[in-house]
Amino acid sequence: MEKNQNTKETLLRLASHKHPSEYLLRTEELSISFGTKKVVKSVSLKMDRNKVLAIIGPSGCGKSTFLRAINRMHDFTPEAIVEGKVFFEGKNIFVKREIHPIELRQHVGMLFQKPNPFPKSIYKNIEWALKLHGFANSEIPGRIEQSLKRVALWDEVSTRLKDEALDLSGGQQQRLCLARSLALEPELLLMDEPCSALDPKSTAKIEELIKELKQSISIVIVTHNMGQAQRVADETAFFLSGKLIEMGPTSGVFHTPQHKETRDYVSGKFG
Amino acid sequence: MALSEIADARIQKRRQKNNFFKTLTIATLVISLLCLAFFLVKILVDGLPFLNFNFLNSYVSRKPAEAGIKAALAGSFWIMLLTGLFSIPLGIGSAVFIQEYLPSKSRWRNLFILNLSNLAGLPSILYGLLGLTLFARTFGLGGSLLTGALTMSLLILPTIVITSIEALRSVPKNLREGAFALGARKWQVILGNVLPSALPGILTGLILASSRAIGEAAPLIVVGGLSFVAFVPQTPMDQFTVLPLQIFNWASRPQKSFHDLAAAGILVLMAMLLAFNLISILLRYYYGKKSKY
Repeated sequence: MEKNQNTKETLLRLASHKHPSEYLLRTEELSISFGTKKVVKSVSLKMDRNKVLAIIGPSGCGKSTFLRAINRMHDFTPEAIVEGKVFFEGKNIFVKREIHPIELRQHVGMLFQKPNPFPKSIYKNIEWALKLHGFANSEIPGRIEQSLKRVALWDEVSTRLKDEALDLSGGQQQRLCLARSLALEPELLLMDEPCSALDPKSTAKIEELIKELKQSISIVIVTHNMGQAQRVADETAFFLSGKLIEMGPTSGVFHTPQHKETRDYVSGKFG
Repeated sequence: MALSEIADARIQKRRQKNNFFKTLTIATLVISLLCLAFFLVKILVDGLPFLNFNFLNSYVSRKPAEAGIKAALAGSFWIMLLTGLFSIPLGIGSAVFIQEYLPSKSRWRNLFILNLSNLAGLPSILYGLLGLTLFARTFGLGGSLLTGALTMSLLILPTIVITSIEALRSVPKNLREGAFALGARKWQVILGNVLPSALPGILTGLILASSRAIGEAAPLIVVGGLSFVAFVPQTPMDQFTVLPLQIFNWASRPQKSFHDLAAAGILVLMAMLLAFNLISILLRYYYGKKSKY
């Protein structure tokens, strides 16, 4: 009986075993340093489609730095040195011939800690993003409406699309930024503590959106808030001083952590 | 009891010192304001009687009662227009290169900024001499509006570049990152987001620089701005005069009535400068509201 059970598990595991290139996102020995300071140390992880991955860890553990490597944001920091490999849909993102950074950023959107709408109208914020990627003029109004609907902002702003985006509330601004990324129809969305500047109500809305968006895209979310990780994430990765300590299904990481450091962190012994 | 009396006396003394210092600072303010007020009243008393439509619409004349600033006004507008045309694109372009394209720790960048700051503080007569040798003589443009405007452009370029660099530097990083993260290229980020956000600061610099350009007389004297011009310049190659030159000319004559004309000219110049500053405040207010970050 027990033996049978074991075989079944082995079979299941074999069935779910994928070829590496089938993963949406895969990092191999990814290390990032600023000057001589190594911030991310040899992180390897894999991520499936239509999943939400939360990255948790204390301040300065390199989780944001890791996240920003995935859409090559370190290109704009001259002193950043990125080593190792990142594969998005099987393509090495650091090789231009495989995927150009511009194309990568269309497919991998990003939401920042502080809402950063452009000092333009609500409409133009999204239009600008679409025009960058050469969407046809006839397509633009439809896409703008659709993306605003996807973030549940349409009903709030449909009558004042020409208003300044900066006149919106913080939560609305963050959802506009989300809509701006979604308009490009990314497969993966990177969120860098997207709720840290928001009030609880707006936070709840963003979390609601994350759960909805999971139907169509994947999300990597860096968060300080362990409650948030448990609420929204399928998988959780725990970072400590630049290393990936543990990664697995969220409930496992929080309730049956394999490492002492993880146990101490999720139980609130440090953080 | 005794202890608290001593303490009271000390507090009293410190309060006196405090008041003394306060009075001192007020006195310095009053002195400088009084000087300005005296100057203003003198100019108003002398100049106001001459300030009428005829004054604005007449050419210079040997008879003070018939003299006016038509040619000087036209010259000032020409110089302003041409100077803006040359210096604004050059200044903003250079600032964009220095701030956006040169690495922030590069030696070149520091060298440029250091030199620009020095150039901004250079006496204006030196620009006049440069303009004279380069534009008037070498390029053979003579004492034309073009020479004057090019010289003025050189004079105000450092100011424009420096204020524009400051304005670009103050554009928040997360705005740029947001644009880059959407897949924008560098020029798209600069043209689409960074420059519009820096606009209020850039405009302020432009207007400050332009007010310097319309107030300067020295460089134009050197490059050959005339003081007796009885026509409105028609092309950039025409000879010209400007308000400060006209004022300088009138003020250096012996007759009292010409001094009064100079006062009237100063009033017009001050009104123009005030208008400029008003525009800059309004623009900053308008764009500042748009780009509260």
